[in-house]
Amino acid sequence: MAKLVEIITANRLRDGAVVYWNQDGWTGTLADAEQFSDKDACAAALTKAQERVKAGEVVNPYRFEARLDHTIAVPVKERELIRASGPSIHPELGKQADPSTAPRFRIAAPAKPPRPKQAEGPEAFDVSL
Amino acid sequence: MPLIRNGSWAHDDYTALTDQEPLADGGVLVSLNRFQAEQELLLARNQPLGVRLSSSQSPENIGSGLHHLSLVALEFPAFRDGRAFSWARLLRSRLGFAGEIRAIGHFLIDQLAFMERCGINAFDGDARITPEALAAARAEFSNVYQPAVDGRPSIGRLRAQSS
Amino acid sequence: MYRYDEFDARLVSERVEQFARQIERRLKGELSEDEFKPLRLMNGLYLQLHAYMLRVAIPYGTLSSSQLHMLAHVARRYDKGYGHFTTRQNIQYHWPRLIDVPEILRDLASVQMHSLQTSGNCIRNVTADQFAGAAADEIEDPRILAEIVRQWSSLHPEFSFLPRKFKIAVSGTPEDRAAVRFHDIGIEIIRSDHGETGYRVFVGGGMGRTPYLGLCIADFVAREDILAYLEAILRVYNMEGRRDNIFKARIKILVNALGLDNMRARVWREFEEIKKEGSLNLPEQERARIAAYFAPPEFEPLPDTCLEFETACSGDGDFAAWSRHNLSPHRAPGYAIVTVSLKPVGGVPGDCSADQMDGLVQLMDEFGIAEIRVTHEQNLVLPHVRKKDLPALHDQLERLGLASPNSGLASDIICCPGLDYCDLANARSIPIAQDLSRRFSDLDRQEEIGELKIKMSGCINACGHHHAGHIGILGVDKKGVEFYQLQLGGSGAEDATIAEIIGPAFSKDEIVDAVERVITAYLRLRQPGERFLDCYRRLGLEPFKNVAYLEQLHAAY
Ligand code: SF4
Repeated sequence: MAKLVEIITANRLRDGAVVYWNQDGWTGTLADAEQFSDKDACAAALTKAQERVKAGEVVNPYRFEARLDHTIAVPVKERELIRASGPSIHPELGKQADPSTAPRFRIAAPAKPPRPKQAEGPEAFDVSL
Repeated sequence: MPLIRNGSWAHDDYTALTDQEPLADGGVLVSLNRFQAEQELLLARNQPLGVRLSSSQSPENIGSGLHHLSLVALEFPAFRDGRAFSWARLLRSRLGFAGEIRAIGHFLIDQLAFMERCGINAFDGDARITPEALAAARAEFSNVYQPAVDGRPSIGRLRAQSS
Repeated sequence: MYRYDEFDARLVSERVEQFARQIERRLKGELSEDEFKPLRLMNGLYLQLHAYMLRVAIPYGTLSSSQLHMLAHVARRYDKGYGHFTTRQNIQYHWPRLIDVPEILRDLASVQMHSLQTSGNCIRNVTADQFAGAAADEIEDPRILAEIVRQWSSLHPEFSFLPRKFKIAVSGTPEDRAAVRFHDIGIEIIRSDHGETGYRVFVGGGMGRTPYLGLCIADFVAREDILAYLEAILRVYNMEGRRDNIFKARIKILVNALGLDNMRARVWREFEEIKKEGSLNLPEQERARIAAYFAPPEFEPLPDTCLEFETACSGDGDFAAWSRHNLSPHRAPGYAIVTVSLKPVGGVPGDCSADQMDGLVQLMDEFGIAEIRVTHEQNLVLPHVRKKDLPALHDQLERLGLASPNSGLASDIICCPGLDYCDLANARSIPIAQDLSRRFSDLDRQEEIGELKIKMSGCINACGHHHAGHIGILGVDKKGVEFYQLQLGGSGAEDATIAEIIGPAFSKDEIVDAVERVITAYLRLRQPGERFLDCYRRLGLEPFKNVAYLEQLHAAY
């Protein structure tokens, strides 16, 4: 089992961009985010991050889980994979489009590409009433 | 809490009472429950009397005693709870209440103009609710589409007049 | 189309400045996010996964060419070069910065557009039939009432903090293209036995977690009374709708809890009183003033058959296919209604680039088409096109990538933004729609299948109308992994029904195959000429369910 870490994230108030907590501030790149393997340390950092809400830096900080693939944190949930990358349907947009913010992993292809074979025509299975 | 009545700071001449506290001298503001339980006693005092409604209590619950009241306080438990807008309108229209309607609890300056249009004429809110804020809120829109209880002519009426 | 007078224009710009001040207070810290959120929502501004999202109102789906040009400008200047047309006939921008929003709104106000009440717990942008003013069987242009309702509901002092959002739709034809029975209030324009035009009112329809079809609360409301009647419904809802549970806060739950008769009686009590006050009576003069703006353009006297058009239909294969599916009968001879499909094979349903928008603007100017409509099926409509212009128009649409000949077919999929953008989403919806559209891209196959409405949402909020899909797909989340529920037999038309869930959800690798199996089964089971929906209604869930889960069955053995 890959090791689980926690990461703190939020959206920046002025433009809504996805940001991650690192030491004492925010970064736009998941690869630069601070990885917490200790729950208490993460909770303490979240409290600090929450103070930045009052300062008008960010909106709604929270933490999420990621799996460590060597040193690269890969979010467990689809939602965070997409937040870290950009819309999966537009590889040319969002963080994934800019080498300085792109995550170091790829989102799995969303669904199977169209099948070339025509095996399952109407004859491939029986419909009985 | 400082009170705004008819647009300016005003002295609050009512003591807000819980259901247990003994009656104070002068005007009092009591819950609907207490009003219903002690109606005769309260009315017999011949002092200014107000009833406080929670956001789920329709002013129709006050019954015929309404016309002996000089104040109805409508509670906004959270600014998102918009029931009191309708309660205020009912008070002014169907129930013909002419006394003070006071908003209490949590509301935003962005709601003040709407509140006034629905018939609320006194505000007891947080530190941001000031006569200046109220004046600014009133000035935000030159005209309104809807007729309401404040008698402001709707845009429809103005159009009819100008044509 | 409607044009603002000084009152409308001033109100919208004052609203823009009010919102600009609200943003300023937020940035300065005078408003907390909790306080700001409902305020920004009331102006159509969301915070999504990657950025803010601004939803701009397109009242009853009608745009002038200069408005469309402005939408293109906003997309280029403040966003990433495109916009997304929604099932509410609005457009969404997915990348604006909070600090730019006042400028965007000022630009929009300069062409009489706004984002008032495109979200939040208030009366939302009113929708109407996209064929308004052009449909052959229309009793009255629904946009007249929709505009009247837009004005009455804008910044309503009493109804801006409702228990939940509130959607109103108007249809002016017996054929229902506005899904009136899926709205909180649906209004059908009718003519009484005495020839008087009035309104039939449905209440309590909706999708979301608990879908309901609206029930008829009033058979006939007279024109002058309609605002008083709407105000009465809203007042009952504002006073009595539930506020303790967000999933039970829509008016459909109240109607259901009270029962229709009870609801009707309460509304009547309020209505009588409001009517007595008289201030909400709609004067015929004001109605006529607004109606005049919607008077149809002068149609040229043209013969109904047009040689150029007929010849083109028999010639060029692409044009013939497009004219089979994307044209609808117009009330004026020699004219047609054109549906511009925003569903290219493998594309994002409803997306439109700034260049495409401007291309459409040019084309509208060239062919003298004054307005364009947005449909709740996420397509565009050119309402009044001379048949003789159709071949040239088609050429240009083709050049813009807007000539997919698939209106009403399997690849004309309604699809919400889903987890690629939306903060509320459970699963992605667009990639599945893209995959389905590729799977059914072959036009012969689509024509063989015939009318089929596939509708897909990324969560129970049902922005993609999955409950009303002949085939509906709902994205669900199982421990952070995307799954898809399949529903069959819904309809948002005049024969409205709610789709039934067929069983456990499919994984993202299974769902497209499952849909294909269902469709293949339909092709084998149907009677001649029978639509998928009718076949399903005749046979029920069972045969389709069996084939849908076939692969799972095989896998189990
Ligand atoms: S249906 Fe759900 S996922 Fe789709 S746009 Fe609406 S809220 Fe977002």
